[in-house]
Formats: sequence, C-alpha cells, structure tokens
Amino acid sequence: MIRTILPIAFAVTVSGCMSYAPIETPPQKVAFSSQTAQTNVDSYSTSAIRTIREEGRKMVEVKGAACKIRGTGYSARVITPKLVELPTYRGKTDPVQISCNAGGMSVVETVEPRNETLARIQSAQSSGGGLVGALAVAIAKGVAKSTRDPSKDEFAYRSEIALKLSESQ
Amino acid sequence: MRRASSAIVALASLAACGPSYAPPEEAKTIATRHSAEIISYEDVTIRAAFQSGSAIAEIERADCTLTYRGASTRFSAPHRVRIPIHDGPQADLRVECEAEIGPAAVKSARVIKPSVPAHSKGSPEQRIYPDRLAVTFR
Repeated sequence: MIRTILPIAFAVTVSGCMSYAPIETPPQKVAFSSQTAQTNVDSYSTSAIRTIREEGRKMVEVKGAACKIRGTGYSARVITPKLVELPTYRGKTDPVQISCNAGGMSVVETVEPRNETLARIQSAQSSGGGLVGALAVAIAKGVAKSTRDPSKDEFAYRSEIALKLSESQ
Repeated sequence: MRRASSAIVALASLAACGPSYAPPEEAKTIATRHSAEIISYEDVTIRAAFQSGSAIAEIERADCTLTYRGASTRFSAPHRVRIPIHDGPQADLRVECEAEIGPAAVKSARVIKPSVPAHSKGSPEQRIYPDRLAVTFR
C-alpha cells in the first residue's frame, strides 16, 4: 500500500511546486521499427520529457540528460528537456519505457497511457440527488463503460513526464 | 468452469452491443483425413472480438486457422465453417486468430471440446460444437 502511495505523493508534490524551464525547440518525432506500428497510428500525444533530481529538500530540473524512449514498434533518443510526439493507437496503446542517464545518475520508468475514452465517460456524468442519484450515476457509468466499443478507445500520455534521477548503482 | 462462463458472457455481450459484421453467405467446408464415416455436418460461425475491461466488440477482420482432426483451414473471421461430424469418437476444434490491434499484431486461440465424447448414427440428435464462437483478443 505504502509503495503505491509514495510515488503518487511524490508526483503530486513535484507537480505542485516545481516550475519547469520552457522548451523552445519543436517536438521530436519517433523512429518506427515496425510497419504496423507506423500505419496504425491514431494520433500523436505530445509529452515533455524532463529529468529532475533531489537537491536537499528541493527538486531541481536536470538539463542535458540522455534518454532512450522505447515503445511497441518505435523508439527515440532525446536530450532533456524535450517535447516528443508519442504515437497512440485506437483500442490498445502500450506503456512506453523511458531510460535516462546524466552525470552518474540514472532512471528507468514505464509510463502508462491514459484511456481518454474511459476518462470522458467518468467525467461526463456528475453525481447529484443523494444516494439514489449516486447509485443511478454509478449504474449509468457501468453501462456506458461496458457498452462502448473498446476497439475505438482513444489514449494519450501525460503532457509532463518528469523522471527522477538517482545515483546509479 | 470460469473459462466457460466468461466465454458465454463474451458471446452474450458480443451479441448485445457493438457493430456486428456479416460473414460470407457460403460456409467453408473443413476437410479432414479422418477415415470414419461422415454422419452429419455442423455450421459454426466464427467471429473475432476485442475485450477491454467489461467492454467487448466484434472486430471487422482477423486471420484465423482452424485445426480439426489433423487438418488446418485458413479463413478470415467473421466466417462460417462446415464441420464434418464423423462416426465414433469426437475431436477438439482449435481456432487461432491473428489481428492488428494497436501497434502490433496479436494472437489468440480457443480450443472447443465436443459436447459428447462419441457420436454415431443411432445417437440422439444434438450439436457437438456451438453454432457460434468468438475468439477474443485482450
């Protein structure tokens, strides 16, 4: 349980108080290694890839870390901070693995995509009318979730992906 | 038991929602080298579906291979196949399908057991295999 809470707490803390340097360069495209991965792209999700490290009690951004991005059927190499256009697919978008190195520090993280279709269903129906209303909303959400065509689901990666560097072992 | 019930749920959901694609009119007859007498034929409609959480929908096309009594037949789902029912012990049906879902081609297979271990001309009329089956990708 605590293992789940700590990264969330960390992410909330980081996103709540950190201000990042602006990225002036245009987004980088990925290189495809599979024809299927290239032809089946639904859209591109632009994410800022950043690296951070702990300095005393603060988090500071680390510029110039070399990162490798590996997804199903594509890859990219970037120097942080950098905007990257990550491909997304209807129905099924796989997590992407990002590994970074900078000055004896490193990080490897698997970034899960967010199911935007499910998120829209969740937010479209707001609760009201007490217990009966909440129950009706829960049933409606359940019906909407199970009757949608999952092969049409849309996905996106989060817009800011901040990877925390730590001393390499 | 759990597998069987989830397959039933998948089929029921598939019939209830999402687009349904029509298989070709003509059924493809499965050839076998089995020497026992053919006593009847059963038509089975094979569909491919994609499931995510509790939602399931049929997919327009999947490349499938049906293996039955040592012979293999290829077709694109949805498709109707005609299974020869031989006299004597009955055999498993294996269907393996491949479809492009997201960034890669994925495979899924199902093995259908006959409803009775053996069948002959004198046996009461009953289906050996279901009339519809769905191969589900996750």
